[in-house]
Amino acid sequence: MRDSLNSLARRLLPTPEKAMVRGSIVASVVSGACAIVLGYEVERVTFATACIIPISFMLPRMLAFLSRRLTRRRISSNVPNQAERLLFLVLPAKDQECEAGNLEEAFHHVAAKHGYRFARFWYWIQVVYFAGAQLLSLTERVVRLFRKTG
Amino acid sequence: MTRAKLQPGGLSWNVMRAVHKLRGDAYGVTIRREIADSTGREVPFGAVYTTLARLERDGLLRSHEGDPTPERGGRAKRLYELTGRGVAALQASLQDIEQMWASISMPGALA
Repeated sequence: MRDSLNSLARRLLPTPEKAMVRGSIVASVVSGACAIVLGYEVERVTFATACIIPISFMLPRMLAFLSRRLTRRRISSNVPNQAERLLFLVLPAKDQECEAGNLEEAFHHVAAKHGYRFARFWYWIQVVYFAGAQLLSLTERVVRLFRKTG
Repeated sequence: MTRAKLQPGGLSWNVMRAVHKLRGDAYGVTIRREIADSTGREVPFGAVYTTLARLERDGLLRSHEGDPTPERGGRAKRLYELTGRGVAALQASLQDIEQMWASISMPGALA
């Protein structure tokens, strides 16, 4: 079910422009067929076209959204890249490698105990603490400097 | 030079005590684990890092780079050890604790 939804969404989900063109073609064909077969009035055909275009445009996206919701994301076994980048940003160059190494070592311990999903969350929390601690220490230094200079 | 004062039970004191206990294998992960084992409190790495940096700046600790290991992604450790001032500060804090206990008289406690 999930796989078939995925493949259907992949097939139906081209670029927005293509989807719009495809939607317009489908709408024209359907509304034309309706007009011929049922003998509808022009206003009704126009209304039907106006409804079908957004529906045909939205449907692939809805399917893709549904399949994403149904598919469990595979959790990476590595430390979160963006968190590591943030860590490198807040730490002085001389401490970056050592502290990233400390966190990576502890990350694997946490992952072995609680799983990679929790470990990645834990890693983020630690990096946020690092950022907060660095900010606090910087503030302290600035305050001390102001006190010294009077 | 003023004598560095450690507050017993504080994070700085716990870090110093962990470094003293670990002797030669004191780096971020082991220090944090030692504090967690002895106090039952998980301290964030950020707090340990800033404390170590401050103690090193105050001359109570010194550090050098250790060997990289695969479980750290090939990154080197920074190993810490107490300086002479650090040992003196830790001993002084232990004396403070002893004095504190000596001043407390509890009924039924050890004489």
